[in-house]
Amino acid sequence: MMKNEHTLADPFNEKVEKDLLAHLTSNRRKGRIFVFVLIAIILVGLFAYYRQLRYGLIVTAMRDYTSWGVYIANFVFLVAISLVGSLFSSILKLSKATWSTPLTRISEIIAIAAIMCASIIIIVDMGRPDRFFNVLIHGRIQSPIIWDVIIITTYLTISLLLLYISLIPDLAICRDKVKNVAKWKRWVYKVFSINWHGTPEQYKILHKISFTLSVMVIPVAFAIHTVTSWLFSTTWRPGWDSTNLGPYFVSGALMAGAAVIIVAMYFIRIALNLKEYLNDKLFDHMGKLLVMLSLVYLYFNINEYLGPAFKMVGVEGEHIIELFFGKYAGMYWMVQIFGLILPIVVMIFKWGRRPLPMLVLSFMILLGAWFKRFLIVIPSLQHPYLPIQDVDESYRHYIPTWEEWAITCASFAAVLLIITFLIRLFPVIPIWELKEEKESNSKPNQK
Amino acid sequence: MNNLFKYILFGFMALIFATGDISAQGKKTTRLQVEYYKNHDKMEMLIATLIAKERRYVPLAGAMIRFYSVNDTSKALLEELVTNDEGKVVLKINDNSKIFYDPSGIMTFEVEYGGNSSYKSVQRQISVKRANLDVFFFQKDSIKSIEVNASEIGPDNLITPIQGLHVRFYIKGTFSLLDIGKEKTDQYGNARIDFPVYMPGDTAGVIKIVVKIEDDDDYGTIESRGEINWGIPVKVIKKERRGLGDTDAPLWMVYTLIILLSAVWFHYLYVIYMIIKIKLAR
Repeated sequence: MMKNEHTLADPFNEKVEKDLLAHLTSNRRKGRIFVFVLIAIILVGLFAYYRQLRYGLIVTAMRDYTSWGVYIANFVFLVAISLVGSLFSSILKLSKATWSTPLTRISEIIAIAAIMCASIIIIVDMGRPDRFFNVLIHGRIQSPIIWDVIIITTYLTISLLLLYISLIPDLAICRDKVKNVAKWKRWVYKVFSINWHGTPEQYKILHKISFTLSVMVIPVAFAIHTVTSWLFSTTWRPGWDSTNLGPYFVSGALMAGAAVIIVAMYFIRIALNLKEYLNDKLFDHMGKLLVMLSLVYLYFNINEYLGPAFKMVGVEGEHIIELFFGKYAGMYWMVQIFGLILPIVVMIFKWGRRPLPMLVLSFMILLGAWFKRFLIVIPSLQHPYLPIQDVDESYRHYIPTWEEWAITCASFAAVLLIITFLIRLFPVIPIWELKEEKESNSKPNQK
Repeated sequence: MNNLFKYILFGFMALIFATGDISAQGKKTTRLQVEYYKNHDKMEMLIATLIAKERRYVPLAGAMIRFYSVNDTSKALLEELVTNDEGKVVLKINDNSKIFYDPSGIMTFEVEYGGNSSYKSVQRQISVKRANLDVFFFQKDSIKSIEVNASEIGPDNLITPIQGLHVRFYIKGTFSLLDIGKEKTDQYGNARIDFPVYMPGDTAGVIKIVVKIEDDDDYGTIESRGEINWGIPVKVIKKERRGLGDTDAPLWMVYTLIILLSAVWFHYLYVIYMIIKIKLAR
């Protein structure tokens, strides 16, 4: 049987395998505590959801006007960060940005975790989740909500395929090299490595389908966030009646996705001792990428607000005043300044692209991105085109209840738990791709 | 001084107990509203509404109401009817009803609620003259008008025009009446207003006109109707068989979605097929 060069003994290959497989067999106390904390948060969220099921959506602060609350803001945020998968597995890969190779699997894992929890949070938002299947059975394809259901399923499937395809050779390495693990893990490695022996034919097929999916994921990823933006732009509310909303959402999602990768990189390189692979140079690259994506988002931000703010027409004007000077002004300007402008300015400088500043700035961007979704959803809903008359006082304001916060926090904990589980199960950096890169880099030298 | 205080206190307490005793035994006040109504089919009826004072006046359902026709010397029971949930009861007066008329043609009805252990009895009398209201449509040159003739029916079915009667004109809408004017009848019993030619009718331009004298002291409420095709014909917008607001989506949308999803999901299936090929590859 013809073996591929990758499997041949090589000091580099041996070191890479040793470094990147090490965490699969370790079981650190800190890791267990982290998982315990996440499960505790999820349990609190489940209790809050039990109360919501028991007493209905009345336990939330959502009422007739603000009918989409923090759940939908969170859903949009999670969909946004799921776009990171396409950024690394497709856009950077197709543009031959080889520096991003160590980040592809992290991005795919984050994408899957985020999109799974986004799907769950949308069901949480339903008053009668037991009727969810009616959406599938009786759904009208004219409805953007059905488009969202379709595209989320499509994106989740392609994300799973992308993760799995790139995992096959590494699963075979795990099958052959990782012995001191639980039986079920060995079973996973054996079954899912599907008789991979690294033959040229297998590599040929792998590259072919990997390329196919890399191309295919771009329109699907753009569609998922564009369709999410259409949920808003096809609804009759001030602030949403914008043709800019699709690219605005996509650019914001790419920025949030890059920020979440940086945060993940920082903690993974410490927790798994991978500073050699997730090095400072990678942070520098990510910083430059994040500046570029943030500038694009800033451009769309200006587009989004300049027109309505210039004209100040009717309820659109009231909405702008509410954001710029009203009760949401504090949050709005914090988001714009600390979640967008300040990170851009700092990351322009080389010292701002070092790991720790990048971590802080990325957190700021992520917080800004979450609150930006809050600002997109809530103030618009509080300005219906019909005048508010003789309504209950609770209709006029929206302050999420503890149940909403608990469920929202649980969704974040669930994202982190899925990421943690997948990271502990699989090599977090694609071993075979690093080997391939090393070989392709060394070949010209050999000549 | 002490005695005076005792007497005042005693008197005050006696008043409280006495009042309590009275209120416990007292019956609740009732009210009866009676209306004479003649509809566009010339059906005459008496509509009685019984209300009782609880915290506020509320309809009294299930109460027996007796209707009598009376004159100076006689009183004949017409019918006994039970009030509905709205406290209402309708007596239809037909040819077999034994109605007394006075020499000037006035009918007098007595409507009575006998009361019970909880509610006081109440009765009302109502006197009306019989009258007719007829609608006609006229066109002179380009002017179109609606005319109403109001006439009184005397003791020997003698018809005489009613002068000075306020008549209201309406267009019958789907859910309510649209007020288009009011006019007083002349010496011939006629009242006329211009026809609202600017109003939309049905697909043939037909407009239904309703004329009424309302709660008149002498004649009660009388209604009459007429219809004519002088309105603007309304074009019926053909309902799209498939549209964004329909149950079925527009075909272009269905085809677009099928093509796009098929393209994407075909590639997924292709990838799965290739994964199987990887498994089988040597």
